[in-house]
Amino acid sequence: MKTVFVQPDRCVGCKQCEVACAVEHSQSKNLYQAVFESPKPKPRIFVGPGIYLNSSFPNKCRHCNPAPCMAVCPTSAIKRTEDNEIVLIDGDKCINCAMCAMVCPFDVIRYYNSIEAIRKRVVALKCDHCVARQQDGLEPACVEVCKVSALLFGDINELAQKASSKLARIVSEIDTAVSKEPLHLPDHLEAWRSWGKSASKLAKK
Amino acid sequence: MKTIIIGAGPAGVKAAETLREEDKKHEIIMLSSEPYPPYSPPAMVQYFLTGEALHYWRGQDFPELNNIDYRQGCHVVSVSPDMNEIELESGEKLTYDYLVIAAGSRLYTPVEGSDKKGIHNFKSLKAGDELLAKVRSGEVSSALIVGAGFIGVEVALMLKKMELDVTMLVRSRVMRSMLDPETSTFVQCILEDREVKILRGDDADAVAFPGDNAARAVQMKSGKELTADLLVAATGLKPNIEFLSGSGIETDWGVFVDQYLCTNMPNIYAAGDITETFDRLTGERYSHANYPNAITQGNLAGLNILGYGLVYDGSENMNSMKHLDVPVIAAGLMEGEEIRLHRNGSLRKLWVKDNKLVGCRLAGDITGAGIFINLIKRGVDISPIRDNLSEPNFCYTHIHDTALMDNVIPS
Repeated sequence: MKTVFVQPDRCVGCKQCEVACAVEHSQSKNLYQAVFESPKPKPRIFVGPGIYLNSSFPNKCRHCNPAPCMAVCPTSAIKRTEDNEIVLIDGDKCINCAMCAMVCPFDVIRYYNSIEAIRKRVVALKCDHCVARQQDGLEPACVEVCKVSALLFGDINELAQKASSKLARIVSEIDTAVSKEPLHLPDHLEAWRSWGKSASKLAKK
Repeated sequence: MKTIIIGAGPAGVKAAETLREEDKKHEIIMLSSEPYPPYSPPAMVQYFLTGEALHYWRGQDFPELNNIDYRQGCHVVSVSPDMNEIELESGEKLTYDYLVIAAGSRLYTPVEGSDKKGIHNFKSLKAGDELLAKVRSGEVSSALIVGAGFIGVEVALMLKKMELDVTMLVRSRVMRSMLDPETSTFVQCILEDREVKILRGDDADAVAFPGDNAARAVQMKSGKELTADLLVAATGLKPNIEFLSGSGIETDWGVFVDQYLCTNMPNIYAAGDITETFDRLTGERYSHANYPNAITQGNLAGLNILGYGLVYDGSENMNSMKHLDVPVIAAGLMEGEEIRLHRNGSLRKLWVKDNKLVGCRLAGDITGAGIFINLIKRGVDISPIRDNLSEPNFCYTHIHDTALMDNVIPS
């Protein structure tokens, strides 16, 4: 199963994924035309601030299985694709009741006028894993545009394996105390993190 | 194995769906008192406003597709648990191995003369059809709605969209049981903006429906009488338990069930509006009639019939009114310390007790509702984000930063 994997420690909160997502879900698929479109295209990924001045997290639909939003939709507008990978909302069936937003533990469903619904009415919008792009063999727009590899796209098993072997390496290196070098994030990320921590401390005083 | 499901609302349909998914050979009989295929009550307004048949949410051919013996317009008059038998109005008797009682609820009007003709309601598709037939006949231009609960507000806004002159009679305040006074005022302002007239106090406390055969008006506590072309009652809900009297199945306000949603009879389960379960937060016996609870209970009853022995977490007190452009979400309790944020025309109120989030009321901007409701459900210690809850930009990153995330996964 292919999915978008989030590495939150790498996110710098630049919001480029939000822009790319909105453009991808616009009619023109072009940034300069998209801003003049009506209804205005909206992102389905949300980068918000956290408790530290520089913490951020690219928050998007996890395509849960079982999906709570799908269970509570009173018009069966929320369905899973046949290969069971992606949870999609059918705008034509959505009645904008917000039951899905009530049960989504990640808060990734928003309500806007949509070109995907009849009469462009207000319906529930959320990440569709860029199904159209995937059919063309492309990765989701947010992943393509992410400059710090906070978003990765790939087979969930392979990504999980990579992450676990990275963790195993870190644990064994701490254990044997050979070298702590590989533990470090790239310098620019390390600098960004420590700036955030000290700035947050100052702000609290 | 043969299961009879009494009722074809969300709870009954979900129970049937679960049984069919898990056991292809299970014999399922589904009885509906209404003359329609199974429908979804929350989608009724959309159907009446736009004509889109979204309320047949599992498809009109749901029974055939799932190999269910579906009988519509069929009333059950009695249940005999010792014989494993139910009797229909027609005199026909049906036997079962398992029974699911999902007969739902109906309008409850503690007002004198409420059984008279000419009083409409919106609790079922049949009642809605009758109400709309009257509206479409063109004979009516004004409507008087008694009660301002969830359904009352829903009907008021629907009739307003159909360009009727709508007046609501509100005894205490709008959506009293679900909303705190401030959020209630917020909703009242939205209603008044849409030109729904709202009367409150003794002058709006309906005590009787005067009239010889048909109700012609509504009489208030103050003695005053008000009338309109269309009288609608939306005063409350009552579980349909009458047919269970004498059966030995334990009932009070609704049907009593244990933690497996089983009644006091071992092979009889109950699900949906008709059950009297317990509140997930307080543990109190209560009947929270909403769509998500009905689905969860229907699913669990189906699984437990098949022997899974799953325990119910308790029903959730929550609702949302967004489909009529009233962005309001209410969940949980309204007690403890209050955290309030009023900004840009939106209101967010949270209640914290013993370092746990116990309730939320959001109006205007409903962003974050899912996070708050999940924190409420999980009952996690929110002290790491206590100060952030009042910030306008509170979002999922706060949950992630404080590693509360591990506790906030879907159930």
